[in-house]
Amino acid sequence: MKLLVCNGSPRGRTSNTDILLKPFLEGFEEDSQNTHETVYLNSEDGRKQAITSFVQAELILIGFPLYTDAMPGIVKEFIEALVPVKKELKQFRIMFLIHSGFSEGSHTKYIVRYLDKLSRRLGGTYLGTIRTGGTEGIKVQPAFMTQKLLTQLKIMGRLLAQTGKIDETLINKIVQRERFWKIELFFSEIMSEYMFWNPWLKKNGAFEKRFDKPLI
Amino acid sequence: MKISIFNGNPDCNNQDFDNCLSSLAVILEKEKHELSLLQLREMEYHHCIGCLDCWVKTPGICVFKDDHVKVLRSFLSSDLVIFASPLIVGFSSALLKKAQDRLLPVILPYIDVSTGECRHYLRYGKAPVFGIIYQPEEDTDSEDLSIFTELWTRFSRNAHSKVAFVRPIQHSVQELSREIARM
Repeated sequence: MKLLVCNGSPRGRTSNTDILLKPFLEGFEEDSQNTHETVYLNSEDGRKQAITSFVQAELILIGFPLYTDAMPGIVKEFIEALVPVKKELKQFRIMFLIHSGFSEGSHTKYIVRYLDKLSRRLGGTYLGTIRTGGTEGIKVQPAFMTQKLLTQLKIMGRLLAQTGKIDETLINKIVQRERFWKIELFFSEIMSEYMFWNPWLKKNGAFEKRFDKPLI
Repeated sequence: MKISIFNGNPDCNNQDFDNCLSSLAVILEKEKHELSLLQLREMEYHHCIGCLDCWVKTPGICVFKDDHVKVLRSFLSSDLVIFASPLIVGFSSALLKKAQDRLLPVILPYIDVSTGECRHYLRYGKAPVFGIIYQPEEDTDSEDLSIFTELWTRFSRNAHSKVAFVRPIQHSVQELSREIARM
């Protein structure tokens, strides 16, 4: 099986989306007959290439981070560019991998309905949407914090290779919970402020300006 | 009331859509609202690249010095912002989505958990109320409208705002202006 991976992150090759896709693809390619091609949607040329590849693909994954509670503008641009080639598309199966900076599953929940409908609109078979949260810090987090998620994604890729499906039970395990207790949220708010945002602002010499209102 | 309309119609041949917004603008101005109608397709607008410089390097300022500043100023000075776009493949246009993504400088990186669900704090402390105007596609059904409305409602929650109305361009502009007057 060949999998077409459309990376819809505006950060492209340095994206958290890529970090999440890596173990998934490793799992998928444990079977040496499986291969993949990754296209990046964060440039005009990349989107053009992605359309060409999409037309020939039978198994497709689109991954992206949540931007303003939906798909990033570049992904919407790509989706719109698929319409003129709709008649040329093969019989394809499609899945999505989406993630949000916030930890709760409640944020990624809503766009799933759109992705399901989109798949049907394009005439494809919808396999499901893998979604996860709390990914903004994934690059700087120690391995013990991310290992479980990355392992689950690897199993997900392996199961896709074995069954041709996205495992529903594992989707729910990866989401963990749609909502968190307020005390957990409060803790993660403090953590993100003092362990993540403030050090980053200070490193850039921008800490004093963090509440600036330059437009009024 | 200060009202901004962001026209996300990408197609200059789609006159029905633009005409609806122009006639709404005329009526609202007659009603003494202060109005700005921004044509996104005529603006120079880069996609957000997710660098987060507007949070952690030059707080409140985007790396791209394009027309988004006009949209941000308009957004910040309005009581009501109308996001207007034809539905394209079941959602607002990529043109409008691009402008939506570039609103990032008006929020802070810090997280507000007071509602029991994460959202970012606002950099300027206030947000306008949202209105949505759309044009259905040939195959638009109730499922599409429900998905579309839900996504805008979710965005309004994260933006500390609310969606006051979602109306198709077929809706009477007189009626809409009366609804806005009652807000």
